[in-house]
Amino acid sequence: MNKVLTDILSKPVPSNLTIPKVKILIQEVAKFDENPRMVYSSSGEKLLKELDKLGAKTIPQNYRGVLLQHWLEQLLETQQTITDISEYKEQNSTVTQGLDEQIEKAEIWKEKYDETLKNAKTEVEKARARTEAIIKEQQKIQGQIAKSKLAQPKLDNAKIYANITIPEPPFLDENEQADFDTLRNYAENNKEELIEDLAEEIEEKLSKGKNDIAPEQIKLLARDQAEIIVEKIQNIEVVQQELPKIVQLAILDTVITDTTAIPSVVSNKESLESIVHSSKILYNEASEVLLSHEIAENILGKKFALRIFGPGIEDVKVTFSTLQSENSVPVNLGQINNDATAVQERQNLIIEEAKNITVTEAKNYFYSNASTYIDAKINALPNGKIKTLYNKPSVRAILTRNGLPSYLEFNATSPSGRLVMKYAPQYAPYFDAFKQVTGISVGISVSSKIIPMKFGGGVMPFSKIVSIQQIKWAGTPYTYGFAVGKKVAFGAGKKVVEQTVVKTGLIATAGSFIAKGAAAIGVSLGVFTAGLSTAITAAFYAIGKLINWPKVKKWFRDNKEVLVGLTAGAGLLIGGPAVGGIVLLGGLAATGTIGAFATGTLGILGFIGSSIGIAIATPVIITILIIPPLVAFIMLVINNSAYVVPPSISTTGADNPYMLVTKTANPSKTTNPTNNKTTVAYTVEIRALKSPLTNLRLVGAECNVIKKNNAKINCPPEDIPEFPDDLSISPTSAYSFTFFVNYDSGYSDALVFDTITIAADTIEESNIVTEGSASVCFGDCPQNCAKVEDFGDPWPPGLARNATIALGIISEYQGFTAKLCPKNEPVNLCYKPSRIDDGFYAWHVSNLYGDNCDVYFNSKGVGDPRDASFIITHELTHHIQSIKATETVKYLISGGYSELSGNGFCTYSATKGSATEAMAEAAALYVNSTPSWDACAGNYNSKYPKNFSWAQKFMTQ
Amino acid sequence: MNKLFNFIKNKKILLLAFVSIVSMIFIFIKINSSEKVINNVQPSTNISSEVATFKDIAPGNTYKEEDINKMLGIPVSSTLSGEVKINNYPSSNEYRTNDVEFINGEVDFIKEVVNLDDNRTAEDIRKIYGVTEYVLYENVSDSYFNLYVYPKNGIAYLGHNDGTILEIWYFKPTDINTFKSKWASNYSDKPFTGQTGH
Repeated sequence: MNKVLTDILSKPVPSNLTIPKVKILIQEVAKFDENPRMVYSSSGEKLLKELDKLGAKTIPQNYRGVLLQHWLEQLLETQQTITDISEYKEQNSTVTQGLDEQIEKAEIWKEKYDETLKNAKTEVEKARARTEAIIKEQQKIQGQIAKSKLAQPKLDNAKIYANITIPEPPFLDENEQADFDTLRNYAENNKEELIEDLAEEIEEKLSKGKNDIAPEQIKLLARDQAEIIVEKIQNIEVVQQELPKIVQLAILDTVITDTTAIPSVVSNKESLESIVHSSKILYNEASEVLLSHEIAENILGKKFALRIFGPGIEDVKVTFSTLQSENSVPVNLGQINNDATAVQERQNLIIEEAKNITVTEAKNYFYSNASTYIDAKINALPNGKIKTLYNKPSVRAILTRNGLPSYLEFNATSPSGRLVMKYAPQYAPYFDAFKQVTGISVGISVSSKIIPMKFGGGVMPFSKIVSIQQIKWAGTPYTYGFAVGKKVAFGAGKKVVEQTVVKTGLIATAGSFIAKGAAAIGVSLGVFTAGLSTAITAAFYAIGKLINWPKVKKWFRDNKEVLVGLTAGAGLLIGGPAVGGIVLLGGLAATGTIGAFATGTLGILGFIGSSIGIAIATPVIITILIIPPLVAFIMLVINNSAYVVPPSISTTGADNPYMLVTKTANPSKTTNPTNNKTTVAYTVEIRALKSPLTNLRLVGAECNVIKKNNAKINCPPEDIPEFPDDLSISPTSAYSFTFFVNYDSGYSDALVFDTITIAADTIEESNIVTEGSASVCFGDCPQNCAKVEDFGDPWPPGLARNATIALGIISEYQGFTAKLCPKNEPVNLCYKPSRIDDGFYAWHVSNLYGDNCDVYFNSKGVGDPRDASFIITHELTHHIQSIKATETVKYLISGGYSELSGNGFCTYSATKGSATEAMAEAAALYVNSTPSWDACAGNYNSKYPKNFSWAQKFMTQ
Repeated sequence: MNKLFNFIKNKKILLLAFVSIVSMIFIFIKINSSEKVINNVQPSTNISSEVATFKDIAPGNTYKEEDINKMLGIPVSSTLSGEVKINNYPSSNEYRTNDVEFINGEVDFIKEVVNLDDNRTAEDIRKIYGVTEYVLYENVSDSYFNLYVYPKNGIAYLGHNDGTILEIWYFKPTDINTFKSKWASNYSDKPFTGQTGH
């Protein structure tokens, strides 16, 4: 009976059988059972034939009903499953749709990421070149300091007298005066509109000019300048406070350009050159004040610009005399030289410090200084609203999230908040900041207090290192009123902004690092002065580069219902513009400007053109445009910290702080060699990272070949050229050489790793040894989906080589590779010791930190290729555990874990009590049973036979 | 009365047909309605208040150990610690055991191991008990199995995202906090992000 039942249960449901059909058959068979004589009837015969056709021939007659019942149950079950699935699909269509969208997004971001990575490498190369330029700049500065100091004794008592003529306020005729009064009234009563109009005008002019500035940057710069101009219109009396700056600049300008007065008191040629050079430095430091004036003159005309800003640099006439007169003021040339020397020494100090600090120290330096800078900058702003905002914990958190030292956590307090925290936690600070200025809450709150940061004071590293007020060479206070002096012809002065920036090349102050950065990222300095405005320019430009505008737009578009709903429902009081005023919007929200803003019809920048829009958008600008640019600016500096850090440290990793050896193969991947004709060119580049390298010598050359068929083969001979005896490699230029190696068909389907080891001496340390490696893949060389990637810290070259060789070894285990790479998705191996706790060698994280790293390593487990093959196999087994759980169950049922009897493997104590660790260790021991840290499992097969047996299957089948 | 009796006597076939039709309609409606109930099963909700048992053994009840042994076989090993006795019974795999914990003769907890040949997945449990809201994460860095708990049903399973089950736990129905403190002290509500191994 059992056999019959077994037979019945093994009969598959015929493909042509349906539920109605089987139900009919069941009824027919039941009739047949009741009346066995039906077999002789035509209907009975037909039924039997049909049952035979369906596969019931071997089933005894009295069991055929059971068979049919079994089939019916199976069909009903299938139908239920189908119903369940379709219902599930229906219920979860939104989820599926969302998932598809997420996948699509992920793919887009992956592409962007790859592109960014590619660009990053290029940028790093550019940064390296810039670093070299900076080092050259330092040499120039040092030379100049020496000259300045040499000249100082001769300048200490050198004093001349400046006769200064300041033009009277321009005469405005009746109509002009009426226009000007209208302008002032308009500024008083319709400030925002005036700013807006001016900004549009400035933007248009800047856009027409030949410059390499992003449209976003121009828009924001125009707005910034328009605000300055309108502020000045409102406060003409401030002109008098600004006047001394202009006069001092005019004096410096005249020192630079006067070819008669100075030589009469400074006869020495070197001293003369020094004082001219010093004046250029100080002029450059203070000249940013001219930008707004120039723009105002361009937009509003000369007369109005003069009324608003007072005389420009070209309007103030300065003549020097060796004799003091009633109206002249003394100019102490020694003080100019001394102040400029101080500036240069600080420049030199910054570069010197930068050369010696590590990446971390560099970052800390910029973090602390950047925060001080932002503090000072925000503090200097005229409106209290921004200051208040800046001190909000949320805004602090935005800065914190981008690297500034303070700490804050956010909690969701509503469903919408939870949504944000779940899908876009990175925006939490922005939402909270948004709430601070608008009152609109999306349910995000600060859950802990920040560590307060020092506010105000300190150095302003990207601003004027020496402000013009600090230069007290005359010792006589300037007290010029607006109408003091005689009228002089316009245009008497000279514009020296470009001269100082372009000709002197004095761009190595802290602020000028940014100038250099700005130049490097394509910002034309032609329309800007150096110093603070350049820093801001760079920051603005960074917006376009670092903020994903389409993404921001899309975010607002996607969330328009949330925004509109929140505002329409609450009838909220929207905080007014940054500079005064409060706008009550309430009902406008759903259909008004904020609605348009939310829907993106005005665009993230387009709303700047709307007067109501700007009122609403200003807080948003503050939160998402103004603050992030500052942060972006910081990030720009940090990201490009190769400006000030030895490039190799931040690029490819280095074994030591003195020398970097990189080796590249060309081609690095090619078809199988034929007829001894495949030649690979290996180029070795040696860089000095700190000080010149001497006494270079070739210490070793090692080559490993891993063949797909496991055949052992040696590398072909290499003819590596010798170093010249007198070779010295300076930090400013690399030394490289190329040699060629021929490979024959014996290297088919092989991976070749070639390593060169070089030693050198420096002043600081002798016998510095480091190495560089390159690999060549011939044909179908052994590789799997695991990759050695620099997504964490840059891999030190030697360790990267070990890991790469190990991957070649591991990829030979085809069963393992198949389990690891079912969809050939990359498994990224990263070097990031800081992620790994003490006592461990690596950590499988499956991209826990969002940096695309699946496994982190430190140097402990990858010291040589054999060790690396062990630890990488261990970690990749964890990866397999994470993607295919049945493999863990297979390990458990293999008896491997029970074989350890709760003691774990002798090689790794954490395997005690952890099946997953034991499984990973079992696999790793199969690849290398004697890692350097413990050879206790050398007799793996006999010591742990069940584990060995499992590992053999796991790795090979 | 006689008329009625005669009517029934004369029209009994008609009446029988009528009763049959009504019965069939009733049965049809009944069957249909019960099918609708089945079709309305939501895979994402807890559909059963049924208390889970392991081979008809329900934790919280007092059993004779001999009776348990009759059901589960002779224990391959056993440990006694104070009042707690744990018997390890054979499973479908020779290296893994189903463990029954007795306290003073009462079955307190059962851990059933699931092997590949058992052909059981998380879906089998979800079909009965729905999708639980309680997911606990082991406080170790290399744990790829989470604990899905149905406190009111007295069942939990150690499962992977891909549906693979490692173990099924049976216990006396309780609330989640009691379960956590009693059976899952090494588990948390949030995934563990520290490092406990390499």
